[in-house]
Amino acid sequence: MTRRPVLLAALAGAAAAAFRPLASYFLWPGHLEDLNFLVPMTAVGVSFVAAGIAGMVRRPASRVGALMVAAGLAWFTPGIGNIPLAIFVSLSWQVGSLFLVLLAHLFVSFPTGRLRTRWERGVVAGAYAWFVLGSVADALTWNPVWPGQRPFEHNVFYAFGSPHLNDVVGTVTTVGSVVFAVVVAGTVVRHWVRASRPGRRALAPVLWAVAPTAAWVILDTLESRVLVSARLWDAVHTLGYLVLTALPFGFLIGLLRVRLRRGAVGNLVVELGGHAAPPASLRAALARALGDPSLQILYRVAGPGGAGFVDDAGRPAALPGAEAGRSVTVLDSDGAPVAALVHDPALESEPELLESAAAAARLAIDNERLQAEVRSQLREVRASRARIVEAGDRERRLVERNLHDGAQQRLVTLSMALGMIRDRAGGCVPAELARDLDEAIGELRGAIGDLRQLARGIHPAILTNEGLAAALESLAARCPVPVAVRYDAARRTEAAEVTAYFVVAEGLANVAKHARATSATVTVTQDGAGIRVEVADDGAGGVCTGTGSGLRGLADRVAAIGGTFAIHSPPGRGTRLIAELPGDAR
Amino acid sequence: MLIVDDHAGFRARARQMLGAAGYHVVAEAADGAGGIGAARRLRPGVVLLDVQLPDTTGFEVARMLLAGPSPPVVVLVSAREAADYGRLIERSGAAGFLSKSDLSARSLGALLGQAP
Repeated sequence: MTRRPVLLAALAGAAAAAFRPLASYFLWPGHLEDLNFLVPMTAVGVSFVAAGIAGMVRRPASRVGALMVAAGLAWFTPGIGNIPLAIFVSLSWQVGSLFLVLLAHLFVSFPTGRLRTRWERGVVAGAYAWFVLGSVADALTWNPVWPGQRPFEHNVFYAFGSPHLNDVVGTVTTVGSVVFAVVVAGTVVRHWVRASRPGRRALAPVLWAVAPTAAWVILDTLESRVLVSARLWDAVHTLGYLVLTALPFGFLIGLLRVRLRRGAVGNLVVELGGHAAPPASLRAALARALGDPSLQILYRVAGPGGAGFVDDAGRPAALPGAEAGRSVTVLDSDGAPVAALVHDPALESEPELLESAAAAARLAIDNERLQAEVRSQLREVRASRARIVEAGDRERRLVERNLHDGAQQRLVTLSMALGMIRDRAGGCVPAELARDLDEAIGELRGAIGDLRQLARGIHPAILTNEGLAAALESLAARCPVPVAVRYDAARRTEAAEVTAYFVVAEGLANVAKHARATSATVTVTQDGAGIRVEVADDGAGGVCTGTGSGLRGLADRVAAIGGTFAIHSPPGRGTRLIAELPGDAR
Repeated sequence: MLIVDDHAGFRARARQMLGAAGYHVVAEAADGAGGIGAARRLRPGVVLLDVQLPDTTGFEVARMLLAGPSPPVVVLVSAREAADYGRLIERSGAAGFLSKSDLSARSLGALLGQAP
């Protein structure tokens, strides 16, 4: 580790010593003696290559390092013109702009080095195509001639044209290059505007670099087209080289910021250590460590319809698709998914950060997943209990309907037939037989009455026909104790109405049987989204919750649809049953 | 008189019983649509109407019969009791309600307020 700086210094020294002799082979033809030119030119290329290598080593997941190395090498390519062969000289005249295209690629694809949207791919592909087209057009139409020209200093690609045609080609490529510079700068600014907090942190150095770089590219491109003073050109070039030399380090800092943030994972470990974190604080701690306030944690749990993801409250949740603008990182344990982090896509460029944060929070996440699983099961049990009650209600309604359509109708018809027989027989049968017939008719009427009572206990037809208010009135009317009904609520779900009916029916049955009351009241009021049902009497009181399977069953039924049930019954001071029922049966 | 009920057994008994008491039963219908059709055609003075019909409810049929010109007197019948229907009976505009087990020439006559 300690040897590395020494090694680097030695390399730098060797490079400096070799610079002059090597320069004659690598660098720009015609400027070999001008150190004011050579040193800044070389510095730009070297800084790109060096920062690129550092980026490749430190952030292997990103392609930005490799792109920087490529740009640095492209910067040096015009050096091939030093080789005294016409083909190399001709190529050296065309490859200079390759650096600019790679620069555009770098800016647009930072910080991952990958092009994600169609727009980005279009901009970069367009820049490469423009470079190829412009170079080919220039190579075909340019025939340079100057005094003292050496034999190898001519364009081997020249095919046709005139100085005028070449001028037009040059103007068109220049305008195109300026447009591309503006578009690339706009794209970087758009990235910044659309980026989330973590994304902006990585983009910041690049955002600051894009304006001066674009300005330099535009001025440099216009150099041969626009007449300005030589001193201004010198200033522009000097500034431009400074910007270009610093630029790769801006990219590098952007890349390394990700690394620096891994320190936040250490804080995460401390924060989660020791005590079990409640769900909100686990999410908040992870969101802080990752710098993504929109972070969501979903847990994979076994459910009735197979395994699926739920949120921390146990509610089923689907993983967002790619079109939702969110990224998903699934966390595995022994090869099976246990949780998923739904986060900002910018974090995708920092897989190590995500990994280490997830590893640090693994225990807390596992713990939280088990809790989410319990919550999810509880929800499912509640839902299935409510469904069982609803199915039971449906069955009972059907049984009542069948009783009414079948046995009840037959008995009624039978009773009519017997009545007619009695009427027809008139006085011509023995008195004994007439008495027996009357008894049979009376017995049959009793049976019909019993059957009605039974059917009503199974399911009150009036509830389906007329709603809860009318059903409660009819219950009150049948109660031997005077009952006042006050109904002040809208209609509710069937499960809630049936439950309310049975609460009142059981309550009034108890009033009639045990309470020794002189009057009772039934009150139904709106209670948020649900209803509140109260049955009160002025009787003996002293009813225990545990006694009587009727009350126990009632409490279970109320709980099954998610309501609450309470009995207040101090001895000697009457009894109050209170049920609060959600209108929504879940 | 017209009898509307989906139970053929009840229709037959009621026809026999009321016919014996001097009511002239002009037709029977097994459902609401048939009942309305027969009432329009035959213009009965009284319609004995079951509450629970296969295609609709007796309340609905009563409303439609009473909305027409020169409406008949409608008497609702059911195997259930009046208490099972609450205010629906009043609101239907029917002259009255008889539980089937209470149906006789006498109870019907009392309800219609006239001798057969």
